Amino acid sequence: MKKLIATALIAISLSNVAMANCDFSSGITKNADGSFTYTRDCHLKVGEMKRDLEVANTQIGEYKKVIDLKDLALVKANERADLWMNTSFKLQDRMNVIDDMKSKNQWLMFGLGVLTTGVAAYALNQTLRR
Amino acid sequence: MDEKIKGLWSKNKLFFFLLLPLIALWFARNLIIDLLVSSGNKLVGDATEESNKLKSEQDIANAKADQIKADADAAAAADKAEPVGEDWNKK
Repeated sequence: MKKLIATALIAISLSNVAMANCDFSSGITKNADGSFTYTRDCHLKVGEMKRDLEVANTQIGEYKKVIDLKDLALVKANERADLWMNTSFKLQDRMNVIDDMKSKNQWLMFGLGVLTTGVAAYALNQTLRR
Repeated sequence: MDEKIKGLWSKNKLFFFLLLPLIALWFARNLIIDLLVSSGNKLVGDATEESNKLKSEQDIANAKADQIKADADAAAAADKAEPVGEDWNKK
């Protein structure tokens, strides 16, 4: 069993090595005229790196658009929060006015009741005197 | 009886005219309260409408962003899955 696992691990590590098999320290040699000679693996590796860089750059460009849109969504969420905050302030003002008017109206109603009773009693008194 | 009522009215009309504006004031204040309540309801209705509009804009922006990210990731994965040929520098 141990041998089987060891074999599998070796196979996996060897396959990884095979995928990244350019040794940059030995795979690139400088020529006398100043140019460089790459091994085939290094040539492919450089191509892969260039491709990855281009893909990453494109992805970054798209991610910038994503960030802008997420920013816009946050702005809208903030606008909503501000809207409800302002609305609640306005409603609170109205509630205060209504509360004040209601309590004053209750006193007014009480006064009217007292006055009406007084007037009715006075009128009754005058009627009975006649 | 008519004389009695007329006499009563002539002596008490001052009270009536005093009561009338007070009753009118009470009604007016109640009316103002009703108006304030209805304007409050309208305010909430308008805010709800505006909020729904903003929410839909927010959802659209979020959905667009998520879609762009998913597309970008899928495109990147697809590009990376393609093997690089020996002639990559000629393309």
